[in-house]
Amino acid sequence: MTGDGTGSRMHTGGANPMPVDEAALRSLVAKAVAADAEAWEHLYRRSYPRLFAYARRRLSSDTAADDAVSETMLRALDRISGFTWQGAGFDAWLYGILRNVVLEAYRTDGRVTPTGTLPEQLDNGATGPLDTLVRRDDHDQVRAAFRCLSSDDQEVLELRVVAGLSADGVAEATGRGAGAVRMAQSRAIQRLRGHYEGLGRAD
Amino acid sequence: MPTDDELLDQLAGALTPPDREPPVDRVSALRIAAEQRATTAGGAGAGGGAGAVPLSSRRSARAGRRRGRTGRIAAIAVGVAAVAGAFVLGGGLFRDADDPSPDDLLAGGTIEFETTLQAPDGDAKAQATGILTGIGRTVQLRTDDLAILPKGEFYELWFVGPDDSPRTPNRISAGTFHPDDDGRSFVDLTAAVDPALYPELSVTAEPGDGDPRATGTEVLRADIELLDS
Repeated sequence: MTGDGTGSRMHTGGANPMPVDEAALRSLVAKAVAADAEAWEHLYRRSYPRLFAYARRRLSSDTAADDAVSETMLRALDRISGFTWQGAGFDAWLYGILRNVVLEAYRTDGRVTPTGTLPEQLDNGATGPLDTLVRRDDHDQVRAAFRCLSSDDQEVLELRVVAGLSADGVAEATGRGAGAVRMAQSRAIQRLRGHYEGLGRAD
Repeated sequence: MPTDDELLDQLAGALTPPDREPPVDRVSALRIAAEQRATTAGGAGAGGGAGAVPLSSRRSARAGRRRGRTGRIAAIAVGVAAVAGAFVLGGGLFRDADDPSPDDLLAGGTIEFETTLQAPDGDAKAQATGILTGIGRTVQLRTDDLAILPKGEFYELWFVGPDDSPRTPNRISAGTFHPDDDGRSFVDLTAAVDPALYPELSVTAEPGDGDPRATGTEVLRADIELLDS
């Protein structure tokens, strides 16, 4: 992670976006291109937590999010023959598909406010009651600040920080330029900080 | 106050989801779709060919946009749940080597006809393959020539019988569909229709008016010539 928050980062804890290394992922994708069912199941299980979380934060229910992820994987199966490693990678490609699926859901159902238990409201990685409380204290403020951000700011931060995509990856997934993504991320961080500090003063 | 990196680390910790398993039926649906792709495509690429392996999952996955995204996934889930249920009843999801695979249960069809539908007044064409299976008749329709319709409208495939007319219709719908974002209409549709009794295929563009009858414009048509069995 670079000082301006625009470098590549890999967060640990919770669902790991890359449980296999690059070579293993390439091997897995090569098998997926050949319609290997085992490879597709592996890719689904590997990608599911974060794809679900992205969809769940934008859609109305767990079922809607599951639908979106399933649709994403089926489209990926349809289009895998056109995937190349010249882009920002397989994860960016998948998120690009998911993003379109979510946007289509918006067009069909209208943009909705997610209800129920969102992914980040779970006790992420807590090892006991005290740990849970500490984590909640640590995370509640930044989570509240994040919710104050615009959907665009939230998306760029989520794709970079949670999905673990590079700036190029976010650019590919969102159809923007990498430079614009870096600029958007920098501004989103500043706005996040503003809300975070504001919430801290309110306490 | 935390640095930017510390703030982002906090954000990552707050937002990163816990490990979570996908629903079993969704995984199974993807596996079946992949297996069917491997069987039908044989390396033929996206969309597959016209092999006689009409899996319900693939049909569901390709079914028309009229049902919507949720309906499509739900249909896959239902189809997979049905297959999984068969295995559960037969002794569990993890079948023995001698048990039939989902492919075995859903495949094994016989091609009844292959035809090319053509536009009455244009260049548009579509390839259609009719398959008799143990669960009904499936039509695999393949075309890149149909225009993407306005929202709410859709295409509908019909088996057309003798003396069909708007006033006295004699046709049975095989289902509705819509081209994908790339303009491809690669759909597998099912109808309980004997093509010997309904020997023409027609594709109409329907206005989405809620009327189950064919009220739209015919865009493709073909006679069905049954293959020798």
